[in-house]
Order: sequence, then C-alpha cells, then structure tokens
Amino acid sequence: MENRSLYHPMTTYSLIKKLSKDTTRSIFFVCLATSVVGMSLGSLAASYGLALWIPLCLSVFVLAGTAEFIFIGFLAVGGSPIAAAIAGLLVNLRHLPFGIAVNELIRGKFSRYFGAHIMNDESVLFGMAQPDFETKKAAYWLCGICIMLSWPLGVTAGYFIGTAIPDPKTFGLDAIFPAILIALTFNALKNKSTRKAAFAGSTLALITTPFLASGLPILISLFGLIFGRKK
Amino acid sequence: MNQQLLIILGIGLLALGTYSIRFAGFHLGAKFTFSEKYQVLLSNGATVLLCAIAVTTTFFEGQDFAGFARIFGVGFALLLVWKKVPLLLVICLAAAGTALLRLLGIE
Repeated sequence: MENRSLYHPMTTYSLIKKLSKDTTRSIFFVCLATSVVGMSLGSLAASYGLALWIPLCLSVFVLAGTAEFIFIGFLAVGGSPIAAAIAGLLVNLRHLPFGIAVNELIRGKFSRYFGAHIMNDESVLFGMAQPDFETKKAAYWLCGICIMLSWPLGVTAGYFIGTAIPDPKTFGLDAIFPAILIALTFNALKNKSTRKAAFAGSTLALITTPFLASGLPILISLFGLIFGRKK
Repeated sequence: MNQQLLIILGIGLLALGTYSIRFAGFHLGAKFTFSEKYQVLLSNGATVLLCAIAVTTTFFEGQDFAGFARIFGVGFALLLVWKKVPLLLVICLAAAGTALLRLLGIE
C-alpha cells in the first residue's frame, strides 16, 4: 500500500491545530471580510436585475472574486457573456504560477482535484507565509475551504438583502485585502533578490494598470523577476 | 441564441477555464522536479504576483484611483507589520483606520 499519510484529509484536520492562534483567527477574519465582499457582489447582481443562479453559480464554480465582479459588470452593461468569460479568464491566469508554487500542498489521489479548486489569492498567501510544510498545508486548506463556504454564503445573503446593505467601504473593508497581502509577503521580502523583483514587478503593474485590461498588469509584474536574478 | 443559454455558456467557460488553469499549474509543478534555482524563481514569482496585487489594489479600483483613505489605511498596516503587530490586529486597525478617514470626509 502506498504511504499516503501526509496527504490524508484527517491528517490535514489534525495539522490545523498546529497553526498559531493568530493565523487561525486571521484566516477566519479574512473569510468574514470575504463574505461581506461577497454580499456586495450579490447585491450588485440583484440591483442589475440578474437572477440569483448567475452570481451563485459563479461563486460556487468559479470561486475567484475579481473575475466574478468583471463577469457581472459585463452583463450589467449588456456585454456578451462569452466576452465576459474571456475577460475573467485573463484575470485568473495568475493561478497557473500559483499552482506551480503551491503544488506540494495539494497532492493526494483525490484531494488534489478539490485542492486545485480552492486555490485563490488568500489560500496561496496564507499557505506560503507559514514556516514549515505541515503548517503551510494546514493554512492553505483551512483558508481555501473557509473561503469556499463564506464566499457563496455572502453572495446569497447579499442578493436577498439587496441594496439595503451598506457599502463595504464604509467599514474600510476594502483595505483588508491589500493589508493581508502586505503582512504575509513581508517576511519573504527580507530576501534581497525577492525584494528587488517584487519592487520592480509592482512598479510595472502600477504603471500599466490605467492602460491595460484588468489581469494583464498583474501578469506583467512577473517581468520584475529579471531584476531579482543573482548575478 | 437566447440570452440565458449564452450566460450559462459564459459561466461554464469561465468555471472550466479557471479550473483548468488551476489544475494545470498544480500538474506542471507536481510533474517536473525543478532544480533549486528554479524553485527559488517560482517562489519569488508567486511573491512578485502577490505584491503586485497588493500594490494595484491599494492604489486602484479597477482602472480608477482608489482614493486616499484606502492608501493611508494600507500604509498604516505596513507600519504595523514592520512593528511586528499580530496579524489580526493589523487587519482590524487597517479597516478601522480607513473607515475613520472616510468618516472624516477623506476619500
């Protein structure tokens, strides 16, 4: 029999206990904020007069927030759903390098098919920020599963509450996503070549954002890696 | 073709496409063993992407300027991270700081 102990679901559950309390609480808080952003997507869809199944299917089967906002936005202005899907796919191309980077965390005969689906900015981020393999894996799965649940729940709730919910911006929730990204990549940036690459890449993305279709500037940031090479 | 069918096709295309991208990344990573040099490059690549997302979502909302409140909120978070404040507190204070600035009328 093959040794699959490291990839067994029950093992993942017991690994979660190894995460620091700060990490676990932060993951839950981020998921809470995610569900509020989901509510704004749901209420947006309702205000455009779209049927509930549209944002709900997106949130369950796509599970990538930015692409879903773009899709709903396209439909709202009467754009073609196929063009909307292509614009969304452009944003989601970043999951290819993400997948390569976190592949060790999602192996397992069956769990890899599920593990690939819960790959998103937050799960990759929390996964990569942990100190060792076991906590990396636990953080990736815990965050991924919590986002998978909180996002569609938020979308559905937002759809029914409709325009009565306040803008997430009122509570400053839009600052949370960049804040956790910065907090959790901070340690990796202590490495000089990583810092050079990240600085160059972020500058490239920032300059190109006003001119290019969304998704492209993020991919262009990878050119920053050229600046991080060791001579 | 009617609109509803087109929307179903659009969602199907986006969902299947996104899943394929995710799985292809995983598969490529799992299939090939990369030398240490490339592993460093890949891990740097993910960090570069995450940083670029952080910076663009700080300054932009789509293609429009995101406003000063968010920039100050995220800047405050950066200061707290540098001072080694626990993550949960960083998250809460970044949101609270941004909300406070908006309450004061800074957008």
